[in-house]
Amino acid sequence: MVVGRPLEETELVERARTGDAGAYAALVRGHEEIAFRTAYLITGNTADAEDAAQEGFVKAYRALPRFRAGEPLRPWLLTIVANEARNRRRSAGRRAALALRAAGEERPTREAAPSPEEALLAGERRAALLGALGRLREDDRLVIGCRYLLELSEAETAAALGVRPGTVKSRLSRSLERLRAELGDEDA
Amino acid sequence: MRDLHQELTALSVEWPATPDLAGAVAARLAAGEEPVRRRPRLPAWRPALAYGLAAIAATFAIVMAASPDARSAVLEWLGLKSVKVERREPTAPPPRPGRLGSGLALGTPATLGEARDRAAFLRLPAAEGLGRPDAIYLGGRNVSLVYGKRPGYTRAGTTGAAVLVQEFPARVEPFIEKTLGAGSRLERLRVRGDPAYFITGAHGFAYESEDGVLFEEQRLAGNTLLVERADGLLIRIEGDLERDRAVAIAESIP
Repeated sequence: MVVGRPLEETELVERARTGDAGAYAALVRGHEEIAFRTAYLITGNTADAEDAAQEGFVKAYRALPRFRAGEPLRPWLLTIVANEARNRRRSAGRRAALALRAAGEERPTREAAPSPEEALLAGERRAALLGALGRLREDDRLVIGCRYLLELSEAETAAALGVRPGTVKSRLSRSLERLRAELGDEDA
Repeated sequence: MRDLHQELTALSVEWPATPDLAGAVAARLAAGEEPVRRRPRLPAWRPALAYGLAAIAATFAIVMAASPDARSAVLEWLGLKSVKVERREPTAPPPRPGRLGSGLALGTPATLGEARDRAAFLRLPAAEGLGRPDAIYLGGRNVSLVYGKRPGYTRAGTTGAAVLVQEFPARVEPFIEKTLGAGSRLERLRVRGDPAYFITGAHGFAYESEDGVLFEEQRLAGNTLLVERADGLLIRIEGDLERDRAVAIAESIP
């Protein structure tokens, strides 16, 4: 047997379907971070997120025979994991608090390093932005979180939110309007 | 007017560390959870019910924000200030068939040889009566040794394990007191000169490692001894153990 390159996802899926747990573990490894973070965004706490992601991956394994070969795996996995996450959030009884903090530095750009004053202003702005996000309704927070914080595609965002792909764009646009309003209040 | 789209795109967030899901899922599949084609329904697939039954006590976990240094603006996403106490439902996992400790989400099962290869920091306790661990798991940043019931060590709770010894290359001290919830008691002591903490009652704990501050939950019912060794190894011994017995296990780790 010739092994010299990483297996393509479709090959791993085919192997996992026939009961190759090692192949499935490789698939989980490749998607565990985005699945966990998506679940965290929904449940708001790490214990439920871990539980939801783990349960989602095990259920997905069992559902693999129903997965349509050739389709992208990630949205399909996110649908299952997000569904588990929503079930846990509902059963938690009250709205879960979600704590995220801005990383100290913004994502690297090609521009020169900011001055301390600029860095301080940027830090305050990040604080205002996350604060405003936190005051939004859950639906608004989720769609913005999926698109910008998790950088999911529209199709993946739809999968994570359990909505039709066609509605993501309009939802996002409305949510951004509300975020703008929230930030405007803060600036005033 | 600021470009909100650009600002949101540039925003990066400190996510909690991703747990070792691949290991946990592999362990569950290895324990006999097969694809649906052959076994359409398994009663074991009702974790909500099982977790409910296994619930022993609510655990308090504390989510900490970073120290207020200039570098990071620490933020609330949803009404969270610097410290928040979060009431958590059951943390005791349901019993699962198969390998001892396989339901504890400790990572990937490993033989002693594999564990030694992949976790060079591993040290086996040599306490009297403990013998070899019945199961070993490799987590993302730690190794777990699971001991079943044996003379002098009673099995704790529903997990089937009597003692869980975990070793982390990490430090715990600055965070320990913040992670204790109501109903927990903390006793400071020294184990072979190293600072140690004996904790009675359910708790989780946060520790600092190369990957930032991580949070671990209580897994077995019982008490926990944490030893922060001068050599950088953090030892955690969990089980239905008296303090002196837990200390004896810690002291037996070379």
